[in-house]
Amino acid sequence: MTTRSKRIFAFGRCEVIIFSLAVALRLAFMLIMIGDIGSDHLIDKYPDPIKYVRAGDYIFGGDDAGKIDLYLVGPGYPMLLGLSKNLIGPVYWPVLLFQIILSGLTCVLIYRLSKLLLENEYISVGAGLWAALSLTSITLANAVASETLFVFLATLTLYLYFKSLMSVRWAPAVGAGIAGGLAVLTRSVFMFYPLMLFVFALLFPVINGIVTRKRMILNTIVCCLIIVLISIGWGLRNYRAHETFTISATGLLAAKTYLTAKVLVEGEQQKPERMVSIRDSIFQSALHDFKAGRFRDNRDESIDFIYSTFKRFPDLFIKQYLRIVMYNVTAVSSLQNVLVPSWKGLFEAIDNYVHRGYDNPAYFMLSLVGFMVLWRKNRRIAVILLLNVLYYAFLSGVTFGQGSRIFYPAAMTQTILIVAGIIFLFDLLRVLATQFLIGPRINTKSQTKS
Amino acid sequence: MSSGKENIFQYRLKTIITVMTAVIIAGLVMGFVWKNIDIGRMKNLDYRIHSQYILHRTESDPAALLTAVTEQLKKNKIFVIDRYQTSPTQWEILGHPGRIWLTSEFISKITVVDTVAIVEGGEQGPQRILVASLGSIETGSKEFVFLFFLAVAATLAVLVRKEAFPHIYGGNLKREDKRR
Repeated sequence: MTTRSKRIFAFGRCEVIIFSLAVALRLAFMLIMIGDIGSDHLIDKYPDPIKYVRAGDYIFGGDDAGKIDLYLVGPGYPMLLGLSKNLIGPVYWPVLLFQIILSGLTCVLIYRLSKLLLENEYISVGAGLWAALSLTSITLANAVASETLFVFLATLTLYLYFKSLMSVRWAPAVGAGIAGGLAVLTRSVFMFYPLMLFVFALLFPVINGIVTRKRMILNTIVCCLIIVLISIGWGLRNYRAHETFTISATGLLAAKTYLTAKVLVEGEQQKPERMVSIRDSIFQSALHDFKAGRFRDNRDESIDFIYSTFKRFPDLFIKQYLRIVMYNVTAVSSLQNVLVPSWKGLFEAIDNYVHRGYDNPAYFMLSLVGFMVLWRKNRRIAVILLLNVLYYAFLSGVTFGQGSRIFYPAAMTQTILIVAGIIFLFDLLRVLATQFLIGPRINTKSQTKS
Repeated sequence: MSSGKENIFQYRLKTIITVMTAVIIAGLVMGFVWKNIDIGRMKNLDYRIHSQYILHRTESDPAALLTAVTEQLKKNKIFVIDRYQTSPTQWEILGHPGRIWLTSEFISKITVVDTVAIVEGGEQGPQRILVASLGSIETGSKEFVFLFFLAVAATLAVLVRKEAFPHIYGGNLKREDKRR
């Protein structure tokens, strides 16, 4: 690295640039959004926010209507909304401001994570900037939705966890465990992540013998135990309240209403339009069960229903599941059209030009190119980065229709892979152009000096 | 490479050309197979489930209706790729919006069925009615383009010399070797 590069990448400077850029972009979007739809309409533009608000109200002793919502979405994000409402009042912009800061910190964490794993400033700064510029991240930071809080907690978990694998101290592992536990309470998709942490502990390279493999596994056990203990706490609360040991019912309900409904429509040779009515009827019957207090029966019925559909159409079930996974990893978010409707024309014009609709495999392909590039740099780290992306890809296969939001948490490592791919392609074009079009560059400076 | 040019690949030029040619030929074959799979899927699509009614005519000559539909497709800038009869009372027309499969987002099929029915308000009793339905499926052309690009880029990523890419591999190569 040259002296000039060292100055650019001086300690702390990159973090400040990435954070400032991320916060500035998100604040600008917030100002446009509030000017466009008004601060009163932040929660009624699409169905999800009202569920979180009702669940938050229920936690702080409000309306009983939020009981079902809390069971469905888990306590993490509703707790934040409820706390804000109790401290400041029924306005949502303070939560959005908090999310904007979290989103900016997530971009910095992605930069730090990349630096920790790859020790490459170009890729790390690129990843941080890419995360700061991501329209999905900008829009989600300005939406009453759990993704921003979840991605922050999940990225913090991963960063502290890898720190713990390089350290003989217990603090990073404990910190990762607490952040991971809170991430599970925010979105239950993180529930199976401890298994991934064990795989990472086996894959992560042993550096200079400071931390042994045995110590890495011990750190992982500590981290995973804390995650599991926090999750079990909420599971036990649900067991007391609803007689069912559930962290959050969304996953199972989504698998029943989306994946299974899609399999049934195709398996029973029904018209595709029937999908909506089947999905709605399944959802309504679930709501009916919840209102009657049959939480446990509903969970058991859901498992039976999914299993019986799988037994009826096993090939089709797997095919549809993989198809939904592919759909989710290539989907593009359209949340901006909801949040700033008067800018819809502009966003759609860009989307149609860049993405050909809301489906774009380019990012996923660039991630795979990035994986191949990093494979030659450090195989173990490349596999770890890809495994994290695949974890969210495969868990997203139970539901669809949310654009890239469902797959968005994968961004914490997918961004690093994408940027590695882009830097490689840029370098390749530059080198090929120098070699074949412009001719070899003669180092005239050094020749003159000599 | 000769004449002072630094070789960016870690193998001989002959090997690079052979590998890249193989990748490109494999890609072209895959594209051809993918296109045929898409057309096969479209031909097998059941119009009663996946198509929407578009028009009907009380004509006795199916050929006239087929020609009219084909002309209508051409006006809407849909390129007709196939026109065939599947049974004595059923005809199908396949088309896509691009000149070739690679530039087409979807393939459409118009199914014309010759039926006999009582026309509402008609006084002549049962009549021959030609009913046309339109169904479409997305092609895999976009996925193919990206997979082809991935195959070429990934192959290049394996073939290049690390030293020629200092932004990715530079600076800490010795450290990399220790991290095993």
